[in-house]
Amino acid sequence: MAETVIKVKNLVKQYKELTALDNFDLEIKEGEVFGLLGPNGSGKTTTINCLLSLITYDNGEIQIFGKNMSGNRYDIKAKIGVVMQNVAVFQELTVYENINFFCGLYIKDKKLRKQYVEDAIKFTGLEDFKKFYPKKLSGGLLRRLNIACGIAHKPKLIILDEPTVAVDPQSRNKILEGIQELNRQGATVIYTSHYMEEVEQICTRIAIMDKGKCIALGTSEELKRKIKNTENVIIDIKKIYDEHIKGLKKLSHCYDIQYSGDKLTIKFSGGKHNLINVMNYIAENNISYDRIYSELPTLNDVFLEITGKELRDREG
Amino acid sequence: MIRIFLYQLKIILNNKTIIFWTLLFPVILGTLFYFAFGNLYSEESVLKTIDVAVVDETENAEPYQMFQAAAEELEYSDGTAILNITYTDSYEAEALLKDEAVTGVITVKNNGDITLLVKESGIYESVLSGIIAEYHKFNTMINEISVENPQALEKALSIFYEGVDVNVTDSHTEGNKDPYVTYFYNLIAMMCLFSSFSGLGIVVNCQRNQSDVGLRVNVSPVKTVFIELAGIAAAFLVQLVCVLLGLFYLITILGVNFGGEIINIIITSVLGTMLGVSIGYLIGHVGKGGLNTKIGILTGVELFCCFLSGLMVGNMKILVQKHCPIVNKINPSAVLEDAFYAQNIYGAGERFYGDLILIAVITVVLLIVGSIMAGRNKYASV
Amino acid sequence: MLLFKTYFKILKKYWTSSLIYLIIFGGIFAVLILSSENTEDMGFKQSSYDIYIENNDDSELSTLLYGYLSDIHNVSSETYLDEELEEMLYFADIVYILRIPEGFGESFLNDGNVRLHNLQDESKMYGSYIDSQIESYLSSVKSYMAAGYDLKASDTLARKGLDTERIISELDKGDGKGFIYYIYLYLPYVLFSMIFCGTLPIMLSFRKKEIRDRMNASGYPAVKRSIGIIFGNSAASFLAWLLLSIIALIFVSEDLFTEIGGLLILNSLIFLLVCISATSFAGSFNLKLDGVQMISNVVSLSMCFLGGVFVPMELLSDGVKSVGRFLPTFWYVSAVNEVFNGKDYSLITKYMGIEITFAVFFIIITFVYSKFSSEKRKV
Repeated sequence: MAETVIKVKNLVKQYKELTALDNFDLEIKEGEVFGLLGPNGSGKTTTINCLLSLITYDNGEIQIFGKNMSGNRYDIKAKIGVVMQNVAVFQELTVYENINFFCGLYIKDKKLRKQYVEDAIKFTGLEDFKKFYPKKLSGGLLRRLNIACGIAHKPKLIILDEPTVAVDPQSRNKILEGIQELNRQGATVIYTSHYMEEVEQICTRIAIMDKGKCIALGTSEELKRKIKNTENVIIDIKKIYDEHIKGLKKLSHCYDIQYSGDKLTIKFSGGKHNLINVMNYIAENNISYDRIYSELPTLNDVFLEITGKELRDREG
Repeated sequence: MIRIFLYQLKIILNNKTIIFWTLLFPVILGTLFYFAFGNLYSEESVLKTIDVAVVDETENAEPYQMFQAAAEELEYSDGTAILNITYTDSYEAEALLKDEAVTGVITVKNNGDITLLVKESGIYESVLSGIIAEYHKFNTMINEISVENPQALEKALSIFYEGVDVNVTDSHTEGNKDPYVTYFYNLIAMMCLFSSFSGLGIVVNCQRNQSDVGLRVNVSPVKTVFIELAGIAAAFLVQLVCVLLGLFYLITILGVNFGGEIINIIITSVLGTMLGVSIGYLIGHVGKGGLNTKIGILTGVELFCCFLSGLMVGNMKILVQKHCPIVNKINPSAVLEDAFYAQNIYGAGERFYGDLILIAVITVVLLIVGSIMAGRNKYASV
Repeated sequence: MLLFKTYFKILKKYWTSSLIYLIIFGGIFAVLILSSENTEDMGFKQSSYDIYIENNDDSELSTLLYGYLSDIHNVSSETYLDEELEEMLYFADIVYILRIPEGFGESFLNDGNVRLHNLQDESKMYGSYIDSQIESYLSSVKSYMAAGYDLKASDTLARKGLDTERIISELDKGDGKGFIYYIYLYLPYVLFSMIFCGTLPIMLSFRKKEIRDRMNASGYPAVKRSIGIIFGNSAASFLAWLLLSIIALIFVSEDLFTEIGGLLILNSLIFLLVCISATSFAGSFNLKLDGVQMISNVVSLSMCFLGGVFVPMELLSDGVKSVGRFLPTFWYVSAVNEVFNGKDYSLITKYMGIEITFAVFFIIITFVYSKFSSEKRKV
């Protein structure tokens, strides 16, 4: 039975009129890659800041590695690695010096530290940039440096707060692969993001947050099973008559149809041959279309069904 | 700790803006002061011929001629004539004075008495009034003695010319008596106080609510206060080098005579730099304002302190002493300036050491309070 | 209008540091004005100082000397210990301590060796001033006695010869400079510092690379942008000038509404233009925020010392003045001095004209430099 690394009970954080965390509970086991998913303002970063005792909270209990966490628990802090949302490095030090400095706050042994720093540089692919200063690095490389500074000391628990914001796809993939590798090496990972694709890709268990509460918890599959929607059939179609929409809605297991922006989305709950049924109907009714395809539900659909909102905020 | 200290040193040294201006600052202002005040103390600064108008209001020529003869012979030590005389009537003389074509109007009266009319007070007017006072003394003597006891006039005048030397000044300072050297003391004091920006920068880099690196430093297992203190030590070292380089420039290149012993000046500068860095350390921990606000506070307050200790108007410290003496004891710039001044005029004695102790005490208090506030800081948000 | 409004929104963000500068520089201004009458004018007028005399000699001469010094200075009637006296001298509570030893009177009149002793702060000029007064008195008394007068008569005649109160006078003493002169004399330092520290950070915000690139990519014309920023700058600077004028009003309300007051206000407005344009020029460089205060200090103090603000112009050497001529403060102070010393309108106009030239010069090089650096960036 895996040990509990993090245990959060009834965490409350209030900012004047805004409740950032509303009796938030969390339990993370050793070896997990735990995802905290939610739109902007749902309380992800606040949770992280409370976990790390960077801010005070109004109520609740936080235990890390079985001990009550507080600002001066340096024994607990020694086992944690943090990768912040904002790049947190010294502009006045080179890549190597930054990693060495922050690793040195955790690892006193010079020889061991040197090895760890080299490992971190190799891990994040920064070998060619050791002597560069941060202002000479691109956004993606900066993010990699940010990660290197957070994980160089090979911590048991790694917390990454939206580490791939504004990062190019190549760097992004490298980061995600790296996290999985760290997990394979034995680290427990907390990964917060509002990019569901990333969370789905690497997280073993996911908590979906909204307005300071955990609204759904489980593996990706478990979460998707929780919702009604099991399959979406999407047709790119420029024009469709209402009677055809009504007809499609009558198909077996179909519970909803939406048509906007030349896209017709037919939502199914259950059923095995939904795509074929739709194609048959189209053929029978001579409906012309551009494209037709089937999609399995995403975490966005989970979020949408539970909250009525999208994971990624829309303007207006 | 040493490792952190060395890294903090590198971080500070790489902040080229602060280093550049900290070094350039005393060079520019020191040079400026040097040329502005350099010659004011020495007599050579007043070696200018003064334009005067002389008006004759006597009825007989003798006193007027006597004055004329005396005035035209007046010379500075290098032979330059002191007065450039325009002989005219009172109406035109007053017009010349109003137009500033002459500095003063000397009117010779009937009995040889002279009066002086000037437009305003000023250094040349002071020189003129000195000449007039001396002449008046001489003239009074002549008028009196030549009437009462003319045969004794020669004897009296010989004593008059000889003067007396019966007043001994016991103060006997070996130091530099140039009153304008206090501007340089204030300049060094200002440099020491401006070390606070480095101290502030260290704290900002370590406080979680003030910078991103501060967040990272805070989640590490090393107590933040140790990282800060290592940083303070690094800041102190860098700033001290800058201050000492500034001193070197002033003393060796410009040749400013600080008075007293060089070791006393260095000790004061060392303590002053530590004081400055500690001020930045404390301000960094106080209040919720961002970096800009704190830089504003430091600049404003320190400038005000330097102003009150006489950086802009030389005798400000004396005025403050007269009206509110406690200010001179709590104003760090005034205490530093006083230490420089005391070691110059009175040597390394009670006053000097008293100032140094005060500086050290203030520094320690600032560091302690800053550390306590650092430890107590709990943030509702970062 | 857009950039003008944005300027003030950003200014709001910096309001705490702006307020600090307002308070600090306003405070410096007020203290400067209040202390202005205490100029160290040595030797011109017969000034009275606080001195202490310890008379251990009961001779008539010593008594007369004591009497003379008591009449022209404030001689303390209390008795103090040596340590107390030293302390008072340290802090300039008294500026001169004279000790008349026993037997001095007789020794002096008979060319003996007994001498007076004094303690003074040799770095200040008060001591030598009083030294010379004592020397003049004693040599006069000795001269008169040599001519056959008795001690009392010698004392009377010596005092007569040393009394210059009636023979030295100032023209039109009524038109003395007063507070208003010093207000407008010190104004450049305070105004320039406030504007530089207060508005430069805002201009640097507009100059951030990302902001600049975004604005360049927009359809908003560059000229309109620059004008908006300059207007914002001008409005904020004008507010600073207004605040200082209110302080001036508190001190010298009647004097401001005179011909002299009007000229001084006009001169200060022209200097305000110089400050705005100089700051705009500084704002066209990529300065770092933490360098702004340092630069402000160096520039403002240099300009004011070389320009005759803190050190009277007549005390500056010709070399310093020739450098000072290249600074706007020099011409500002020249105009102020001319307003009080003769009001030659052609000269005043000339000086103000030179100040305006500085303002125009800064504006031109701002535009030229901006164009040059944007061309450089395109390459």
